[in-house]
Amino acid sequence: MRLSDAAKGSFLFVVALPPGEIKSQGIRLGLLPGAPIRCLSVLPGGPVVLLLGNQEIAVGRKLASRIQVRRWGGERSKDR
Amino acid sequence: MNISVKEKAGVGHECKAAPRKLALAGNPNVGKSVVFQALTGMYAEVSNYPGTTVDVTTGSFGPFTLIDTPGVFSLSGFNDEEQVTLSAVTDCDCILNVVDGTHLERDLFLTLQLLSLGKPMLVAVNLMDQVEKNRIRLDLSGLSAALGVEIFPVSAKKGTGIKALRSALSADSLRTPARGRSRGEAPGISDDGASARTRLEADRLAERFVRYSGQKTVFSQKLGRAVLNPVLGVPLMAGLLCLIFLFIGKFLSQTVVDFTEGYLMSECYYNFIFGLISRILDPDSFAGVLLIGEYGVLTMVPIYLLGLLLPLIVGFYLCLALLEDSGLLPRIAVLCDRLFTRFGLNGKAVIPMLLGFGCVTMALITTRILGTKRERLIATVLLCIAVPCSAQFAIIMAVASILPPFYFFIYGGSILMLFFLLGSLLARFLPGSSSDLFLVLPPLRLPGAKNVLRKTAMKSKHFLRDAGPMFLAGSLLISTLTYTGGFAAIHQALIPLTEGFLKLPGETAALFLMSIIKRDLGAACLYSMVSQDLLSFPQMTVALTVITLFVPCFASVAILFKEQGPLAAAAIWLGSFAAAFLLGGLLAAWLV
Repeated sequence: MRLSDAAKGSFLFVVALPPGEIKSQGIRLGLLPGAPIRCLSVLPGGPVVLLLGNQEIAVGRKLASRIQVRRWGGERSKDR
Repeated sequence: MNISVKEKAGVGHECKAAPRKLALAGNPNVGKSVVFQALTGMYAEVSNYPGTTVDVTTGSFGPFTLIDTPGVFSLSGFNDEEQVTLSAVTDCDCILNVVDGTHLERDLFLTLQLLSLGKPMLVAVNLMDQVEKNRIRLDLSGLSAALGVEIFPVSAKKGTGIKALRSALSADSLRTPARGRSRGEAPGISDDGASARTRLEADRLAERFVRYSGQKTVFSQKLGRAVLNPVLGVPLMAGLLCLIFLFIGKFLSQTVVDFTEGYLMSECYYNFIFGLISRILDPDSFAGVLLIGEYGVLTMVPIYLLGLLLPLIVGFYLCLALLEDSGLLPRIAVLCDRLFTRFGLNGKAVIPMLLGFGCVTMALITTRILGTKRERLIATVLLCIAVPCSAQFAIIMAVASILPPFYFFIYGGSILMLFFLLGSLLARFLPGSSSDLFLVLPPLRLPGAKNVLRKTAMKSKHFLRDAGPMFLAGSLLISTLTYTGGFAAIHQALIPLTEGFLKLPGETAALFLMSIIKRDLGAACLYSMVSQDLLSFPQMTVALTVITLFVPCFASVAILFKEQGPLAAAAIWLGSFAAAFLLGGLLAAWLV
């Protein structure tokens, strides 16, 4: 599903990033396919704030709708 | 641009070794500048790196010339900051990599890239006080062995570890290059595959040497997330901004300026300088008018610069530094993102917009942080037309506070409406693409007093240094016009515009002329007209609207020329001229 559709507080896995600068920027920070993230906050009509490791990243709504994620149906990750 | 160390000549006389260039590099918000400051003391010089407008700070420490670079996440030259940092680290002799101890796995990416340059290098792990507070355990000796560099734990804010770092930076240190790493992305190449490998290596190192001992979410993290909660965040942010506007618009512009300008400068200093000079020159002579006349070089210039502008500028940059260092500014950008996308911008544009209330000229330069040319142009147009700067902003607040609420809302509403209209039109019709918000959020921190004061002092100093010459030029021009009666002629000539179209007294022509040179001069003139009761409320509203929208000052025009080209500069100048008078005329027809 799209990151912009994620629920606040949900645990997710990154599936795919849109090609281009964002993909390269993401890789450097560790935002790669398979990376575990947590959706911290979704501003109505606005950015999605996610937690990658212990780094908070704000992603604009349009960009979030181009990032594919998968819900993590397993146990809670080790809280970092 | 390599500075070579001169060898001792065999003939028996010693050559003094040229200072070696030590570049500080690291991610944004790791406290690089604080470390730089701790090493170099107060002496630091901000210079423009040739070819760009990104600033590089240089200072000296012992046998080294220190070069502070902009914070970057990698060296692949994607944007201006990365290119500048890349040049600085390839040019230099040795590197000091400052990393954030609380985000080590993130920072190690850049560390690995820097190591692959094969230069002598040291790593300083900053924010160790936060590391302790968050109960993170770092095995720095293990990491040091694995990387092949010396690592120094430091808390630049508290001052711990700095001594050890200083002694490590001696004349004999940093001679041997760090163990070169053949793996890892070679800097300057944005190859995703290499990036991924470097990222993996950084993660593996973090796994071995960083332990998060089951910490729960720390209070500052909870607060940071609460701020971003839409229900709580928006009123909080609005409240904060109101507080700042009130601080500058009410407390500073009235209470403080009443003292500094009204008393200290306008009375004490004025009496002193007038008394002094009038003993040598006739005050009514040309020289007298130039020096101590109403717009004199020795009267108006220092009185306004030091009495009026300085307290306002210092207050403004103080607030800005507090917002930056606390981590609130990027969160404000997140909260504003939705609004800004309506204008073809993203949340990051809040930074130049806020800066514009201090000085539009400086804000224009900051538009460089925006992602695409289209965004830079939109932000530039909005800044030039609708954002009032420094003293103009404070004086507007002061005048507006005299206005009854009805007129105040008409003024505020007109400006906001124009802003929205203009932004939306530009977003609709300008070709090109805009970038989306992608912002790494620093944790909320209590700002360090020393760093805040240092930033405020430096920015205020630059403001005065840049504003001074224009003030001087304005003063000379206006004094000459006053003396030669040129002003009276201009007033007469512009009566159809001022009295006819805008329904304002003829003297306001002087106000507009001065606004062309320096916007705050025009605002100050308005303030004195208001305090002399020369304007009715509707007239005040019209005048306020016109000077807010009025043309960008000379300094801004110069930047416009450089950044956007002569065509855009002319279009913006004429556009704001037209907008100011048209809207003013409209309001005059309705209200006066």
